[in-house]
Amino acid sequence: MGKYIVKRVLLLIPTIFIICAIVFGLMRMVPGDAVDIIVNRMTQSGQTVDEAAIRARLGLDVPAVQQFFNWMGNVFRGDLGDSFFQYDSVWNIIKRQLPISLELGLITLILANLISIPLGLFCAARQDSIPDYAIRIIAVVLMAIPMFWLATLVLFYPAQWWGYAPPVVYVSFFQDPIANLQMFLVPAIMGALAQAGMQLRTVRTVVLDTMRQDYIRTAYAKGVKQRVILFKHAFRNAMIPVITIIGGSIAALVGGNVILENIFNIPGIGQQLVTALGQRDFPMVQGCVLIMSIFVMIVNLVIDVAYKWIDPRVTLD
Amino acid sequence: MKRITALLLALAMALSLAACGGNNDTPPATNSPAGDSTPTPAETQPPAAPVTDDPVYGGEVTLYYPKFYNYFDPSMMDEYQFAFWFETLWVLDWGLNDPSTYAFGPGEIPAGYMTGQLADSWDFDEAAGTLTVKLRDGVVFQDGEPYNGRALTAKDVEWSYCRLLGINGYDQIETEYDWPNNLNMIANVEATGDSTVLFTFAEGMANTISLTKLMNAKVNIGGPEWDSCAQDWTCAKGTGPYVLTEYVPDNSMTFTRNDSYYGVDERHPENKLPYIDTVRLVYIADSSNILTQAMSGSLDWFGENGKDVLSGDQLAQLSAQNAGTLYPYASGSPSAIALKVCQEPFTDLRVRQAMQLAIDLEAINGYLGNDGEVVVPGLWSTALSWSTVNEWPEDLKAQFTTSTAGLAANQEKARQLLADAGYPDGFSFDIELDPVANLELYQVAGDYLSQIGITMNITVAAEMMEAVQHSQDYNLPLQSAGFGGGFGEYMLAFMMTGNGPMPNAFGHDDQEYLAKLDAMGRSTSAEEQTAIGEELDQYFPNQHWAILVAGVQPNYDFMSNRVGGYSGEKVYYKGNMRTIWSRLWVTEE
Amino acid sequence: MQVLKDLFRKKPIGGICLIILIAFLLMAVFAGVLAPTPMVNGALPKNLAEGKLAPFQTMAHPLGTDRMGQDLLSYMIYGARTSVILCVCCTLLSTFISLVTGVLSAVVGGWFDLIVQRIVDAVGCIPQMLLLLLLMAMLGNGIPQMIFALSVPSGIGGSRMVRSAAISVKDSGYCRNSDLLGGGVFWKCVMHVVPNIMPLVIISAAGSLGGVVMMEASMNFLGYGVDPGTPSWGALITGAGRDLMFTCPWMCIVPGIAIAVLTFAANMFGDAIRDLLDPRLKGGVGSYNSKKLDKTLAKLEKQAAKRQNAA
Repeated sequence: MGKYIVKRVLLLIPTIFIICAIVFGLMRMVPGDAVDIIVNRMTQSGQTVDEAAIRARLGLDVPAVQQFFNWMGNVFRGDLGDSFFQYDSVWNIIKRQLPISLELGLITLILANLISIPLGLFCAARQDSIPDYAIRIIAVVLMAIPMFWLATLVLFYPAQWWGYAPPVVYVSFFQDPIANLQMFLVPAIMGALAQAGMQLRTVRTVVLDTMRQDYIRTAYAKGVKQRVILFKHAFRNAMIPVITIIGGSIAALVGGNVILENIFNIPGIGQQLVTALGQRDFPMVQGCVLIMSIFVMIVNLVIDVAYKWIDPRVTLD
Repeated sequence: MKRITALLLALAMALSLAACGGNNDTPPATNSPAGDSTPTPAETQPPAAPVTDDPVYGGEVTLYYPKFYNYFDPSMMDEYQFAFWFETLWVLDWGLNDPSTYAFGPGEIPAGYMTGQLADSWDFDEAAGTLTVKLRDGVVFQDGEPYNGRALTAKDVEWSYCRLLGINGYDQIETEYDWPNNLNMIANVEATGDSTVLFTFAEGMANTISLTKLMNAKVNIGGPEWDSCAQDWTCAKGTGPYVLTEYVPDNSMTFTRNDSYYGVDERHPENKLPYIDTVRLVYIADSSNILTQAMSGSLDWFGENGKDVLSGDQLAQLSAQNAGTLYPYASGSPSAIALKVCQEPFTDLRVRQAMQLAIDLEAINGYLGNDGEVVVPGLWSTALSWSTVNEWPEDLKAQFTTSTAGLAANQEKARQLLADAGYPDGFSFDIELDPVANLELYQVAGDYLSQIGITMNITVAAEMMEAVQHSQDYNLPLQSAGFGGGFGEYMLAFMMTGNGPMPNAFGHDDQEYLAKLDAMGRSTSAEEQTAIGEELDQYFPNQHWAILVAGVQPNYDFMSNRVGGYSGEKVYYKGNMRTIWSRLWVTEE
Repeated sequence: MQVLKDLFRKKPIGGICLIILIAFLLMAVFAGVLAPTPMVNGALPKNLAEGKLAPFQTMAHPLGTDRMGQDLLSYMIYGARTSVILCVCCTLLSTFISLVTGVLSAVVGGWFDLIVQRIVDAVGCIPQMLLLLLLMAMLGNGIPQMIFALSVPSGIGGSRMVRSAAISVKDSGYCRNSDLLGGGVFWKCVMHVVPNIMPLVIISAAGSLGGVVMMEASMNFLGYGVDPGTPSWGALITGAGRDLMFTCPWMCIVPGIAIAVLTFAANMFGDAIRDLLDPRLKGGVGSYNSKKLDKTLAKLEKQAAKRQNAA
C-alpha cells in the first residue's frame, strides 16, 4: 500500500511536467499576445509606447523555450509569477478565487448526491417499473437541457413576474451564511440537475450489477427481505463505484462551472480564467490550469487509494 | 509631406478624443484655454426638470462598474473607482462655486472648465513661470491606517506630484500611466508653507495650455504614510466623501459615508455632504444579468456607454419596463465599411456612391433599437464649431438617407451608377471584421449590397491586432470595418484606408483634400480655419471613402427612479463620480 | 441488422430516438430543400421590415423571424446541419483517435506505452472545459477547428478504456498464438485486437454523441464556436435569444428545445446501444473485465511455471 502511494506520487511529477508543457505550448500558439493588447490600449489613450520595454518587463523578450524553462523553474520554486493585467501574483489570485469556485462545486455535488442516490436506489429496487422508466427519462432530459439556456430562463422569468433578481454582491460564507447561500443556491441547483441525471443512472446500474452477484442470490435464498438486501448488501457494495464517479465529477466541477459563474456573477476562478485567456495573460492562464489540474490529480489519487482501502479485492497496477 | 501627415494625424487624434471624451485627461491642445467658460455643448437636450424634492440622508445605491484593479495607490489615476476616496486639486466645474447656476447641466462638461477642489485659490504667474496654490482649510484624511484622520498639508501635495515624476529628490514610482509625458510642463513642486504649494513650470511651458493640462491631469492627493501600506485595500484612505469599507476582488466595492467630510451641498448650503450612506460598485459579467438587476430595481446606475453594457434591444426592453430613465448621449461612433480606395473597383467614386445608396440607414437605425433620426457624421465631431452636419444641403443628405427618395429609388440610382462605372452585374469583395464589431449589422449591410448585385463576404478576425494589421496593408484585397474603442469608427475607418507612403495616412492620395487640410493647418485666423473646416466637412462625406452602415448610435446612462437630485448629466465623465454621487440622494418608496 | 431488430423490439424508446436522429440527419442533408426560405450565397435572406415576427403569425414564417427578418424555421434547419456535422465528425474523429492511441499503446507497449500513458494522464487531469477553451483560443472559430478541439481531448481521454480492453485481448490465448505464428505488430492490431474491442468502441461512441451538441452550445456562450454567420443553435441562444428574452422569448426557447431534443435522442440511443451490446448488463460474467482476465492469466502462467519446474 505504502509502496503504491509512493509510486503514484512519483508518477505525478512527469505528469505535472507534461501538463506544464501542454498548457505552455497551447498558450504560446494562441495568436497575439498581451503586449499587443497593452500597446493598443496605451496608444489609444494617447501615450507613447516602448514596445520592447513592455516585452522585457513581462519576460516575453526571450525565446519561447527559455521562457518555458524560466517558468518551470519558478513553478518548482513555488512561484507562479505575476498576472500581466492584475496587480497581483497569480498565486494570490488563485488562493482568493479558487475557494469560491470550490464552494459552488461542493454545494452542487451535495445537491446532486441528495437527488441521485435515493432516486437511483429507488429505480434499482423497482427495476423496469413505470416509475423507474419515468425517473430515468427525466434524468436523461435533465442531462440534455443546455445549462446556460435554463439558467437564462431562471434569471429572466422571476425578474419579469415578481421583480426578483438574484444577488450579485458576493459575501463570504463565514461572514453571512444566509446571504452566501442565497447567491450560490440557484446556480448550484442548475449544475446539480445535470450532474444528478448522470449520477442517478450510474447508481442504478451499479446497484443492479451488484444485485446480480452470487452473495445477493445467497441472501435471497436465505430468505432475507429485499429491503435489507438492497440497503445492507447491495448499496454498501455499490457505493464503491459510486465514490469513483463522485471523484470524477469533482474534477469536472472544478473547471466546469465557468458558465454558471458567469451568468450568476460568482467571482470564481472560471470567470478569471476566461478573461485572462482573452487578454493572453500567460502566467494567469498557465497558473490556473496547472493548479486546477494538480487539484484534480490529487483527488484522483485519493480516490484510488480510498478505493483500495475500502475494497481489498481491488488490485492496483 | 511627412510633417503634414504627422500634424494631421495628431490633429485628428486630438479631435476624435475630444469627440468621444472620457478616455483621456489631456485636453486637446487646440481646444479652449483655461478658464474659458464658453462651452460648446455636444448635444442640445431638453432642459432638465428642476429639482423639487428635498434631499434626504441615508440609503444605499448599487452602481455597475466594469472592472476592478487590485491597486490602491493614489498614483494610478486612470481608474474612476479612486474618485470615491481620493480627491484632486481641481475638478470639473459643474457650477459648484455659484449655487444660483447650479444645475448639473445636462450633457457633457467640456474639458478645461475646472474649479478648485482641494485647491482653495491659485495664482498663475505666466511671466515667472510659477503657480502658487493655496489649499482648502479644514481638510482631514479619513480615519484609520495609514493617515489616522490627520489634516491635509502642502507636503502631501508635494509628495503626490513629485513621486509621479521623480523630481525634488523623490524616487519615481512605476505606473502604467505615462505621467512624465502628461505632466511634462512641471519642473518642480514644492511645499512653501503649511497650506501653500509652489508649482514651477519648465522652460517655455508656462502658458495657459500648460495650466489647463495641469488642471486636467487629475492627480490624487495622498500622503507619504502611504509608502508603508503597499497594495492593501484597507489602506485606501484619502480625503474624499466615501471610505472603502469592503472589497471583494472582481466582484464589488462597498463605500460608506465619510462623516468627517468637509463638503456642503451648494444647492442647500446647510446640508453636509454626502447624502447616501452606502455606495456599492458591482461588476456584473453577464449582460442579461445586468438587465435583470436593473429591471428589478437592484441596480441604480450603469454607464458610460450603456450601448457597450447592454445591446440596443436590451435597452429597449429596459425602457419599456419603466424601472428608471435612460439618458442618451450622441457621443457614440458610427459603423462603416472602410474601403481601400486604391483597389479596383473602389477607385471609382460612382461605385462608392452606389454602395452607400444601397444601404437603408433608416431601417438599420430602427433595427438597432434607435428609432430616432439618422445622425450622419461629417468629418468633424458635432461638438466642434466646424461641423456643418445640421446645415448640409439636401443633395448631400440624400446620399445617406432614404427619407426623401425612398430605398427603391435609391437602389435604382445605385444600379445606374454601378452600370455607369462598368459593373452592371455588380462585383464581389471580402471584408474582415474585428472581433468586437457587430457582425449582424454588417450582415444586414451585406444583404442590402447584394440587392444591387454586390457580394460582401464577411470574415471575422480572431484578434483585434490581426484586423488592424490587415487593414493597414493596402495591397491586401481585404476591406475592413472601422475599429471601435476610444476612436470613432467612422473617423478611423477613414484614417486607416489609403495608399499614401505611411500607413494610417490621411487622404487616399486625394491631392485636393490634402491641400485643403494643409491650408487648414497653416491658417492664421480662427475665421479662416473655420471656413476651411466647414468646406472639408462637406468635401469628406461626398467622397464616400468609408461606407456608412449605421448612423451615430447614442450611448446611454441608466439611472433608477429611486435616485433624487439627478437631471441627466454624464456621471462617468472624467472621474466626476465623486462630485455627483456625493450630491445625490435616494428616496425609498 | 440483428442489432437494429433488437433495438426496436427490446428498446422501443431507443428505436424512436434513432428515428429522431435520422430525422435530424435528413434535415441536415436536405436543408436546402426543406427550408421555407433557402440560403442564397451562404446567407439567409434578410428583411428588416419583417424582423421579430412571433411564431404562427404568417404561413411564410411558421416559427417567426429573428431581428434581421430571417426565417427562424430555416435558420433552425440550417442550424441542424451544423449540429449534425459536428456530432458525426467529432464522434468519428474522437473514436478514431482513441482507437489508434489506445490500440497502439497496448500492442506496442514498453516505453511507448509509458510515455503515451503519461500524456493521456496529463490531458485527463486538465479540466475538459479549460482544455477546450485553450484549444479554441488557439485555433480560432470555425467548424473544422471546433471538430478538432472537441474530439482531440475526448479521443485522448477515451483511449485509456480502449487500451485496457486491447491489452486484455492482446494477452488472451489466441492472440499469443498469432504471435507464435509470426504475425507482426500491425497484423496483431488489425486482425485480432480491433474487431474484438469494436462493440466497446461503438458503445462509447454512441454515448458521446449527445455531449457534442451541448458542448458546442456552451462554447458559443463563452465566445468560441463556429464561424460567425454559420447558423448554429448555440449562437442563436447566446446572441439574439438572450438579448431579446423579454420581447421575443421564442428566439431563445426554440433553439434550446432543439438542442435538448437532439441531445436527449442521442443519449437515449447511446443507452439503448449499450444495453444491447454490453454483455455485462446481460447478467453474465463480464467479458471486458480486464482485471479479472489478468488475474486468471497470471494464475494460469504460475501454474504453467510450476509444472515446468516440477518437470
